[in-house]
Amino acid sequence: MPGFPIERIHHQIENELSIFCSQLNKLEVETYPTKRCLDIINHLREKVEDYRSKKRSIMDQVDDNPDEAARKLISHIHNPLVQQDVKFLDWLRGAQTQNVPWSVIPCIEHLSRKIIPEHKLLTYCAYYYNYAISWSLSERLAPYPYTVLSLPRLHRTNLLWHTLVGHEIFHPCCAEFINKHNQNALSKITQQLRESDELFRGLEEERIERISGPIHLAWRRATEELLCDMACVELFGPAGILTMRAFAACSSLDDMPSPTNNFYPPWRYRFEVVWENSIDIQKLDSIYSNCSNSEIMECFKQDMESFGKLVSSQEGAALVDRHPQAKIAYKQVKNLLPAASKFVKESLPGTLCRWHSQRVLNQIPKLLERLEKGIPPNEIILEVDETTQKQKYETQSAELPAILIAGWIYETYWQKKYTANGEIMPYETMSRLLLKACEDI
Amino acid sequence: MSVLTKQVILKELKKGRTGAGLVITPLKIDQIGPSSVDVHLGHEFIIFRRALIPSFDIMQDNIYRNVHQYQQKVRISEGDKFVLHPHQLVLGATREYIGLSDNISAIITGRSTWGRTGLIIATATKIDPGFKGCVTLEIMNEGVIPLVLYPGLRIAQLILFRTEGKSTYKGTYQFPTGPAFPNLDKELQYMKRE
Repeated sequence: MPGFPIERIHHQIENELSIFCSQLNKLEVETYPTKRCLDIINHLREKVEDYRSKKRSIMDQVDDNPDEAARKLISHIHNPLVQQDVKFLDWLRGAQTQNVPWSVIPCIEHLSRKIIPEHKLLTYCAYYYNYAISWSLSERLAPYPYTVLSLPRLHRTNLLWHTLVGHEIFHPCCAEFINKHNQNALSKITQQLRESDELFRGLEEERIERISGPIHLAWRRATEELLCDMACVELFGPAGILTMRAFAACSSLDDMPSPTNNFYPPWRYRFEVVWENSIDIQKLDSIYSNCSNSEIMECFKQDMESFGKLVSSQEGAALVDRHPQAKIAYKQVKNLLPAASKFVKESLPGTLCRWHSQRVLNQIPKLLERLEKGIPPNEIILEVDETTQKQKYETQSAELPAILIAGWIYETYWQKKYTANGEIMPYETMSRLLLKACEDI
Repeated sequence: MSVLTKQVILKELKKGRTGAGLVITPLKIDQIGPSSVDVHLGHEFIIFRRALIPSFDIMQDNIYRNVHQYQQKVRISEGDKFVLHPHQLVLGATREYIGLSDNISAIITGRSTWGRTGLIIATATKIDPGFKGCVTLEIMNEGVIPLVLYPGLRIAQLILFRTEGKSTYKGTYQFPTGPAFPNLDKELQYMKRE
């Protein structure tokens, strides 16, 4: 029961609603790369109107039961406002044109419309060094029809890293697969604990249940992350692999799943899974053989081969096998990998251009040639005819996977060859050219 | 120096399909006129923050250290307006990214339709052989009424010339993908050397 007079609570809430509206007014005049943010601002305004109408109806009945009215004001208006709505103020600030890689936002929204059509995506840059997605489409948590994707602010202009949105956008798709296999996985985990001839032998039922909880969580988290990794690599191929590697560069490859890391699977294990399940070596070979600049391609090939060597030893699988709890969780993960890979391939819509399509494979060498010469890899020239009466100039827009792969191929060259003497363009220039390319797709 | 005609422009673009010769991108055939190429206004503008700085004086040490102090980049989405008031100067850029080979130079000039409204689009109109990037436009409303600009407006034209001999641009403004802030530091160094 609230301990203050209802008038104080009423005034405070009225004040909060006014401040919130004033913040929305300020946000409305800013520029955003798409209309999505303005839709959200309008939606929030409607919510404020809804709160005000609720407030009036609660206050109309205040004389009957002031305590009950105060409780309602807090739970129906104050709490959702300060716990949910206010978050959007920060998200909208982070989504302003100047704060996001603006040329890529339409591509990201396009990708999300294809993969998760029921979600309306808001993309913003956050201070934390991670990519993340959150959504609330369940009945209970349905105040917003918006799904929020955050990109790390420090890497705002680094298009190559934003390959990871392919991973994030697939998260909402995972529930179907996980729910389908959840009960069976849990039963098998419990059964393995009972039958274990090592550490867990002869445990009481209650302790088995307690231990199975975190193991089950590790299974869920690993399955979800691996599904998303596979989706990212299914879409963007080697660009997905190289982005994962770049993102993991400052972390340990062998961190075991635990409550402190939210049960994330070890990077090394993730690399092994995507390499085995989502990379078609023949398609990779066709990229190697079609590039005209052998020096650049050699760098890329060496990089991919060294990645191949990293995963071929299967140290990641051996690592989880040495850990008593992880061993149990990852046995179930491993059993479901073929089904998971099939699920990913079937869940991604056929209309979405994937890295191994002929169109993308044909574009990569041509886009790479442009990038190498300081031209944005935004399109390829199909035909130019100056000789005949009907002169022609035909181009084809670049596909996002082709831009990303060409960019990553150039990046592997850049890493090996860049010096400050200016022979190779700085990383920042490469990033700008890649972002410019996204303007036109 | 001779002006390139449509047929020669296409021929040069064909040579530049790998990115090595003449590149104008994105480009549609109907942008190419008999001896010029129409170019569009891009999304980004640099506006001057007049309230924050008393004057432009490159001898003031702090002026070039942080360009954001006196200039601000804004981006206008497709279909949105940018209102240019009388006597206001802003920097914009072509949407098209241009790559000139080492024997082609260009000048950029306003289209007469816009000139008649008082819109001036460039003062430094020459583009050197070998330049690669979006061309920064110094956009000024010399008229007496505000002008509304939209990204994608066919605002200028590029006239291409064959040069005598070959030369390659190695200047400050290489590879810009939008309007470029002026490099006052370089000017200051030059003054100090004098």
